[in-house]
Amino acid sequence: VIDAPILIIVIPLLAAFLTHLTKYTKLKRGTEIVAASGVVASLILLLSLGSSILAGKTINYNLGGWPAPFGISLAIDGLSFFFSLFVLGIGLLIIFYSFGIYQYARRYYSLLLIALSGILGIVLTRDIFNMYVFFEILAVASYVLVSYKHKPRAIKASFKYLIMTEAAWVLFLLAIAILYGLTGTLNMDTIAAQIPSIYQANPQVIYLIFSLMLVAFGVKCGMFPLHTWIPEAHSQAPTPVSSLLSGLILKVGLYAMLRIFFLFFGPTLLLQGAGNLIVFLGVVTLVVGACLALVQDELKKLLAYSSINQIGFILVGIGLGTQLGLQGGLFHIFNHALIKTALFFCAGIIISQSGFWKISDMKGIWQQMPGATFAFCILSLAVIGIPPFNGFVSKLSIIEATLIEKNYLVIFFLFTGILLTAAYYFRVIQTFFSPEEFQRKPDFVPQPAGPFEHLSTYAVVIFCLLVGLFPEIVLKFIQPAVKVLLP
Amino acid sequence: MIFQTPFLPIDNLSRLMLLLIAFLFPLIFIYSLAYVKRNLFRYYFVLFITLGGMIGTVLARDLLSFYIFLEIMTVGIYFLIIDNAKKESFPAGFKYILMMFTGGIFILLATLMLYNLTGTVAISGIAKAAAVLPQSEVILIFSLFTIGCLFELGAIPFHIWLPDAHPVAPSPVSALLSGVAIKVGAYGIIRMIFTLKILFPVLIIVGVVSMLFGVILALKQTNIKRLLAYSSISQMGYVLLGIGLGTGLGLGGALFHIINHATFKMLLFFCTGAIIYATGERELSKLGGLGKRMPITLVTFSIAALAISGIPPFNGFASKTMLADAVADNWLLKLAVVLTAAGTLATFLKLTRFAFFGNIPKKLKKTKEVPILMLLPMMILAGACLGIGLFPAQLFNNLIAPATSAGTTFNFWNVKIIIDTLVIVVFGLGIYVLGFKSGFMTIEKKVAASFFSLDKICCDAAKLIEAGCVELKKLHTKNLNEHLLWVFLTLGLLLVLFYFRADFLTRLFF
Repeated sequence: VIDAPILIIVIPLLAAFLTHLTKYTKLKRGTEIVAASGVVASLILLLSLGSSILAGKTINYNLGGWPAPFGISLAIDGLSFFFSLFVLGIGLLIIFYSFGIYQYARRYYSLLLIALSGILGIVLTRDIFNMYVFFEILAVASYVLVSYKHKPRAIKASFKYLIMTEAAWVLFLLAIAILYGLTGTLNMDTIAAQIPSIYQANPQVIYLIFSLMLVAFGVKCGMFPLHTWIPEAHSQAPTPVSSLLSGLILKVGLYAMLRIFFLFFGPTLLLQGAGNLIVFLGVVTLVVGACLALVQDELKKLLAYSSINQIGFILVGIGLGTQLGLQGGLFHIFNHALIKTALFFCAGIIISQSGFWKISDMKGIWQQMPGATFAFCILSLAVIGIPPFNGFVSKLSIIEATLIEKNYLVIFFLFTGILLTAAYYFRVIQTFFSPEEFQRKPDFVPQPAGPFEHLSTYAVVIFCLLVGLFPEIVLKFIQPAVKVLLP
Repeated sequence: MIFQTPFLPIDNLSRLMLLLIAFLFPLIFIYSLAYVKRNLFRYYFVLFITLGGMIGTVLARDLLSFYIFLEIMTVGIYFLIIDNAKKESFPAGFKYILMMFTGGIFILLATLMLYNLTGTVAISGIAKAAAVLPQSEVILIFSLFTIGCLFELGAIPFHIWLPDAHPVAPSPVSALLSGVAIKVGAYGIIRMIFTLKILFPVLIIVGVVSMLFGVILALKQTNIKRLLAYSSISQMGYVLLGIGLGTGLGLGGALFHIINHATFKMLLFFCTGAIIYATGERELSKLGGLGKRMPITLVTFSIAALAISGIPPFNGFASKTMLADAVADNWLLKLAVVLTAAGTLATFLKLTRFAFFGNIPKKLKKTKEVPILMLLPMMILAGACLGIGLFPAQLFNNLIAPATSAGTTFNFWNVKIIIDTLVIVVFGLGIYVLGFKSGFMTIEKKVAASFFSLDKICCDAAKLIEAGCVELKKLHTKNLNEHLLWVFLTLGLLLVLFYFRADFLTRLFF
């Protein structure tokens, strides 16, 4: 299909508006069906391109028929394919999880779909301003989603998310403006071709653009000390939205970093050691994230800080910039998205059944919810990086990549990070297995999780084990992505 | 990825360990049938995962698989340790899992370094490449791997998880820990010595320190399972001593002691498990006079106690004579071996005396012998202790000597044994009498020992880290204005650094 790139973005967007029309049909659960089928259609379209993209082809599409430097162009290459594939997969999982919760109405599904199509747009576009626009579409949809339950704390968290991200986008816009002034174009490939000559003439302006973008994407992906919106937004959002934030929205910041930094600054700045800066920030992020997670008493906040911790590992992999480092970084992006999505599902199941938010109140819940506790244990082993689960393979790649570079200091901090991760997850696990008889909150009406919530969680658990045993399944998709970054 | 030929072919060393596991595991299973009453599904699920991990570690043909199975075993054992769900089992389990992960990290690091040097993680490939590797690198890698294994094995100074984890775990799990799990660490070191063909005399020092301090600390204990835990540290010291000597006799003795220690220590844990099952008490001061009520337990326990002290004709003597013979030319090491054996005898005299003899406390008047499902494994193990003790040469020549690939032979029954035994008994009685006279050995639980304690240092360090994290959390305000300030300060800092010192990038980490 020649129009595939634009259709992949537009189909979920169309479905977002169609969900509102289900009001006029007598279809039972029409909203959910429309939402799910929109994502599935997009996914099928993407998969139909799979074989040619894995063979190394790039599929281009010019919007309105205008050729590349003038019009907006979309492209699916290995990197975009990998990201859009897991975005759609996890998006489908999140929608499936939401099925069970009746209070999620049309507005929720339509916002979720808009957010998904925003992410797909970011991943597929080759026009830097268009990327900014899709970032804003994603941001607006997710602000509303975070404050979906209209609780005062959620609205406050959403406001903080709004201000922090918008501050980042202002910087990003500034960087785009400077680039446009220098090159006269917004097409990424055309800009990239001109950057080396600009760098020769005036390195300072490239430093400025790099710094602006690093801070902007740093806010989005949760790099220390720009991570501050994450804990509150994650803990106050409804469960599937927390999964969306941690699983996909943080990863979009990483995608932008990978795409733009390697395309623009690959031959200039990154060669000169800007990668070291990212490694350094990654190490700080992972240690601080782990330390703060160690002393959290709110389950969802702990998971949020754990996300920051894991983002640190990914940044180390990206910053190394070697074949193996990028492979590990991309693999860990995928693994973390998968695991953290399901961990938030588990947290959601536990919270909606017990009414407690704090870990110290969750003593002995394993007798009440053996399934959710089991899933939580497996997933936390996976995120710590214990074999034979998927987190082990990606962390092994990152560690091996660092070891080849002989960065022993970084190795030390990576291992410290892993131990701290183990410490805070086992702190939670041992609370779950406490001998005290579990009592739910006195005045709380439990909402027992249905089959949709449980099934989507267990599916991820099984998939974690599968990927851990047969990493080739995912590596097949990662290798073309690495090839795009390191041609 | 770098996974290669995970299994097969089995060599003699793996076969020996595998036979050991295959002999001991069914006994643990039978014993558990009677002992474990709650959460059966969870218990057996994790027990079999642990079994799989253990078998995997000894069958693994490459170091990465060894690491993977080791971690599976570790996680399984963690859930077995917290199975009792007592208040004190969680800190002990936490300590166990963190220390095991630390050890695992050392093993992983050594594996990856070997992979970078030789391009393979397969043991056969490394063994081929090891001859041409630079010696300094080999020693570094071997030390890292050994440190990792010492964590698993509970040698001093990496032992602090061991005396905490053993008492809180259910008794079959304590038996599993002491009988098989810590042996995997010793197996790792032996495997690595065979692979890299290296002599590592530092292990002798670690071994002797573990032997002496383990037995001294065991003498002081009043909790029966904690006492056995310290005794395990001391017995693993023997194994390390043998490994450190590196001669055919030393390695053979070490492997033999691995087998013997597994049998009698599991028997001891089964017997204490029987005591706990029957009485519910773990403190020596609350026990006494159980010999009449639990005669079979008394007999099996005495056999194990004699075996661990190295008294013929029970199996402990066979490996201990071998080790004593291996160090023969060094009287200092010989003294350490004899003193440890004597100290062990004194420890178990105390345990037997105060658990099985004397007056029975009122609460325990109704104590009955434990069910047959628990007695059966105990009797089988006691039979094994006696059998190996009577025919040590058969076991050694058929299974252990091939595993060392040195073709060692040893004459177990000679006149020296009588002298050795007499020395051990005299010294042991002397330590027992002196210990009680001087007040070093008691049965009353004392309030925390005030002298230098590694355990306390580690716990204090952990508390310090947590306090630091709490401080960090306090610094991390919830003020939006401050957060925006951080964003722009970061940007400013980056710009300033770039403007003045664009070369700072290349200096990070280099």
